[in-house]
Amino acid sequence: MTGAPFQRVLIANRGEIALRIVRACHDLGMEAIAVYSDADSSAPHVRAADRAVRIGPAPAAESYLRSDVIVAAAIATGAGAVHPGYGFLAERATFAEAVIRAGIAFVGPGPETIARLGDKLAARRVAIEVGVPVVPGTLAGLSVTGEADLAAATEEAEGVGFPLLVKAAAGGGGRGMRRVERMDELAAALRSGSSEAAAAFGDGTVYLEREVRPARHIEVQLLGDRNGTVVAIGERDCSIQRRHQKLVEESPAPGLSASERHDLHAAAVRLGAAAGLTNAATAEFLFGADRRFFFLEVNTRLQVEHGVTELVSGLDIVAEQFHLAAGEPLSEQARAAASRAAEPSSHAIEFRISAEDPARDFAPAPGRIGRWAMPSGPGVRVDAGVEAGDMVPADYDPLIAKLLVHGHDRAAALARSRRALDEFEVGGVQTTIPFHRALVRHRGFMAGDLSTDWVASEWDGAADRTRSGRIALIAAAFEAPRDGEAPERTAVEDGATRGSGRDGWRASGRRNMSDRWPR
Amino acid sequence: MSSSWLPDGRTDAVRVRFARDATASGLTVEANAPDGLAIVDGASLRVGYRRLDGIHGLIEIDGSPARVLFGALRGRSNDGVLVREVDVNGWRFEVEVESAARAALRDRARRDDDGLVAGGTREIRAVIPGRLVRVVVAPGDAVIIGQPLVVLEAMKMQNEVRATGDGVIERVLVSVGENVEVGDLLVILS
Repeated sequence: MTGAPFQRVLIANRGEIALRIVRACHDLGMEAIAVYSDADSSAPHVRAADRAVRIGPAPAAESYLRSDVIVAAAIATGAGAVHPGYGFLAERATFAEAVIRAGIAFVGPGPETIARLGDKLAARRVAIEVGVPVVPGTLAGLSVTGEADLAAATEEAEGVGFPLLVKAAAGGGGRGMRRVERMDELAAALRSGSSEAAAAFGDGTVYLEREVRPARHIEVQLLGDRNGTVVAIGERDCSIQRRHQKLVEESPAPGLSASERHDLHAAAVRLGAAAGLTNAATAEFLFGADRRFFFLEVNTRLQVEHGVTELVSGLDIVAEQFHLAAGEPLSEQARAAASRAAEPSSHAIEFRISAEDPARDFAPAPGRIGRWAMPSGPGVRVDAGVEAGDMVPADYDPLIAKLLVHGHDRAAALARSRRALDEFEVGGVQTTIPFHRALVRHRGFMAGDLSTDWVASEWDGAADRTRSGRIALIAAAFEAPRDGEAPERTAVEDGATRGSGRDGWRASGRRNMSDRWPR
Repeated sequence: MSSSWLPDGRTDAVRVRFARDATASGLTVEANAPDGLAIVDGASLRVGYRRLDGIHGLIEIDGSPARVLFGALRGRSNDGVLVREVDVNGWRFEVEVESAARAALRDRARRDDDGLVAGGTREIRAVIPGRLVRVVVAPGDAVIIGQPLVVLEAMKMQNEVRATGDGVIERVLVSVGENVEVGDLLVILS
């Protein structure tokens, strides 16, 4: 791998992933062009890029989802490639097609592969063709408009068995997903799931899948080139989730034997090869209590959690994506990483720092960032999308940063996680940090006892918050103003977020004053 | 360290409570009682507090240490209450601090106010900011506790706002497409 695969790249995304891709561009000596909505005109990804193009108002449907506007921006700026990141247009085959039709390289799998695997039902059929077990469920989409449809769905549901999940055929990230315990909940779940799926993906097709429980969520990172070579670069355990959205990911998956790991990687490679995978994708599986793997879906894009695989494999996956998109064969480094993947020699964990309230079922908590002090030191990487003073808009995903830690084994990575999470200081918005701090001190988690039920069964956020609340009240009483310093005269300064060392009662965030906070 | 802003410099108890949380009664704290003790709601606690840089502090309450992070301070000049962001273990709180004597006066005033409000109605307010994507009920509808009233979309998730009790919809104050903020009135139930 030598030289820049492209001269100029347009990044069709925002937030931490756009920044991550800007960095890869600059590492490879390429120019990075950002796009932004009105909510992001001075966002960090815009500041970091070499050029930026406005693509519309704040709502995603009028900006980051505007395929036509983004392709026009790529043409106008002379971009040689478009990187879609994750979310937004990343898995829209029509977007990839439009980019390619404009004579620009799309950094991701080809449109046919995206279409085939993006349809979760088609992906299930591909898996069955190549002998990869799938979660029991329906193989065709359900319509939910008329009475006859409901009768058909009822029949299907009986065959699948309860509890089951209604899932969006075009879906991902838990959107459109509904859990159904009894038949009488089915109709409502189909309707609301389909409506949410239609709103999120423009396609309300849903299907049914048996719920595998207890289970771990384990996924395999794949890379493929245009010669038809597909390799696995290790797996990630992403079992710590809430509402089917990941909170913590680690690599390797704890407790797998070398042969289990090898078989899992091989199954994922078969799937990728059968779907004609080029570039990067991830095959997701459920790992049951009986140590059997069931295929879930393939994500034909860069994952949020790709960084843990980078730390363990030593690869820069985004850089690999650019080289692959330029038509180069899989690099020597990628092949070497694949050959080591079944016997990993270090451990990495990622914590998603989101603007959410973990005491209120992870409700969104947008607002303006006050203090923003990142951990650092050996084995610590932070991929952030905000800085002090930045607004976290309610219009987009609440993920604001990813803390990644790396150690020679899981115990070392966990110890480092405790240290790094304690260093992490965010003011102004509630984040998922208290959840992570409790998790890395939990005996079961430390023992590698993972399950997608962990959050529901082990996490009592309200109790954890209450304990800290009492301490906060008492501390506030001690940190009281000086004599003769009436509250009315409190000076408004910006020093607080920068650690000025001045009296904290006088230092203050002017910008914070006009904001309203979620309760 | 004195904990008072009273004009004569006299040490006095302070009242601390969570901001915008009408249900929390808060604590009365006399920070510098003799012998390294603090009086918290009348009970003696051994509390050590060390201010580090005006942003960070170390507190030890009956032997348990914790790090405290202080954020922006906002004064509310009309009623003399300080509001301060306090972070413990990653949890973010907004704490109101005022002299205990003043807090007692305010509490009394608030109780008197409440007495003037006619009972029987219930206000449903937004607890997250978002865009209203659906209104499920109309004035005159009878609803039962837990029944969805409106759907708010925030950060791509649809959140149902439900009735907090049985009743009849008196008014719907929002319409589809509208952006609402935390605390905005959505529906009135009677």
